[in-house]
Amino acid sequence: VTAIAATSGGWRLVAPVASPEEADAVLAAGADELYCGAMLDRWVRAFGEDDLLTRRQGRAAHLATEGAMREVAGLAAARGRGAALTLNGRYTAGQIDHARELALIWQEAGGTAVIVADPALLRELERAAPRLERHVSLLAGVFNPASARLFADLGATRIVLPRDLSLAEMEALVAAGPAVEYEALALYQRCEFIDGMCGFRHALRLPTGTPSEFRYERRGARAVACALDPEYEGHGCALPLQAASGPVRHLEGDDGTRPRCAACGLARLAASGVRFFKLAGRGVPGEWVTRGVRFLRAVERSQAGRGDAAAIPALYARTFGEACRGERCYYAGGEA
Amino acid sequence: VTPAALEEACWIDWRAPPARLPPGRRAYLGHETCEDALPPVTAARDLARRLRGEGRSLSLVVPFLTTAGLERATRLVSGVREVDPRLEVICGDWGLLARLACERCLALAVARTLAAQPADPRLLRVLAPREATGASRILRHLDGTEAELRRRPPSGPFLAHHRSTWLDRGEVVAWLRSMGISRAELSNVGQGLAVSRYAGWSWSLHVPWVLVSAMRGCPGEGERLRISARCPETACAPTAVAWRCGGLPAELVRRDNAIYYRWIALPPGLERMGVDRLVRYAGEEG
Repeated sequence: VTAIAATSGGWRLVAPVASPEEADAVLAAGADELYCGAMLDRWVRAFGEDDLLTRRQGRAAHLATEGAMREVAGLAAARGRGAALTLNGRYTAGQIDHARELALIWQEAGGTAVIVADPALLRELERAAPRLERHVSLLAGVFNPASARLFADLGATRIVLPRDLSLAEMEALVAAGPAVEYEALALYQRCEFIDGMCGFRHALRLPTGTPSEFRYERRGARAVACALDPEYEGHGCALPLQAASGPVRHLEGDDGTRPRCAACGLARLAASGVRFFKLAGRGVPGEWVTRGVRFLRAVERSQAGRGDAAAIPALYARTFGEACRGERCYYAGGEA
Repeated sequence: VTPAALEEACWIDWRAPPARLPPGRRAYLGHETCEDALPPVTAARDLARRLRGEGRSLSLVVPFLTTAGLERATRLVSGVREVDPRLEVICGDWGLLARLACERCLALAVARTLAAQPADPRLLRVLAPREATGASRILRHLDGTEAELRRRPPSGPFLAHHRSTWLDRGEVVAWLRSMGISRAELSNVGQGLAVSRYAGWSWSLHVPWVLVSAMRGCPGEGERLRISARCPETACAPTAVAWRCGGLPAELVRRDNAIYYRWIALPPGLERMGVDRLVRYAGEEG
């Protein structure tokens, strides 16, 4: 298992990147580890660009070439930081070879870890890609210590805790769980639906204003955009649904100026044994990520890092330009 | 119509059990998506006694479980097993599955929540034959220019993926079999089903309600979706609320904290695929 150096002795911040340029910026901002997806041409030809490979849609949210994979892994290694490849689909028979191949490419590229949800893939990678640490994605649904033990027995070195657990439930899990690393979500992108149990598609359009991606075909002098679903109107989990009593009311949007945030709870989680804190959102604008990393680092340095949350609202307002509000709390609206 | 070789099973909501059930059918009790909606041990044992008295086989369905929920569910399984030693546990939690697998004395199945089938109802449109959805529309780029947007037909591997599940891989089935698990539950997804038959392995097919997604808890008043781990209700009662959206090929229904759509038509070749059980809801046996 690769030893991963960190920029500080405290919280380890794990940040998403979708290009070498973003990797450079995010590392400079103080991230301890990177994570990314990779969507190569051969996958796209068979399965398109939606969320089947990593539960994140669009090539803009992924590295698109083996060269980019090597570059990102190299940038992280040059600074002594870790870099994880997200492979958190539950792959069907026609997909699993591609997922396995990506893991091997990542190992050769110098990546340090893979993030998986598929127990059989996890088990296989311990043998096939032994230089990679194996992180269990929140999509695997590790909700209790017995689940964590099962995945540890299958070769997991880190468990990413589901964001559907409350702080108290995460504490209980870690207290009784196996001796592996634990990671929790800290910022951005909270949904009402449970990640690992949601069958709604995240198709081609990113939720952030990032341009949609379509495959263009030349028809004479015209270029025609082609998509699997030209009637696509957004994430299934965010459809404008109507009940007899009125509209189904979703959570408020989550963007770079008013993100969902777990900063108030991180000191408590750190005290319970959670060492890694993840910023969600592969494919969101890179400046959101760097801003988020700086914010969480500032929280850690402040009294809030030692459990006094009083400083956080001002830090949040200063960073994101809006006051923090209870309904933006990441974990269960701030409930214990 | 159920093919003759298939076992019939029927979901029973323990909170409102029907007075009468069709004879001979296996009974599913428990809850698929909420640990707070699992029955207390006493109520489960009483219902299990009644169902066993009617000569039925029992399947206890358990959802994903928090640390506290895992201990409650373990006690529930033990309590119901005292009534029916041949109890089958359909488990939506890896931890409970691993724990029960160690005991090697129960029939174990993987629940739909872990099968993770592609279940967005819009897939019915995406995977429909091309002639049925040939429309195009104008797409406006962010720079203001426009392009015609047309449908691209799905590839063969894309189609195959959406009719299967990650459980349908030899190495996955072998691993589950090594734990003593011999069955998985599937939804009758509208895009069709194409899974493989494996020795010593069975699939159950739930008809007509296709599980799309689940939340941690039920919405608050007025269908306000929540992320809280705390239940908004003091008394848990079965809930079914229609959710409509223009253009969706199937209407969604929220049942408690989970979302379903209805799909009746059975795929061909159930026996060939190793599907040996149909699971319906009490009152919708058909």
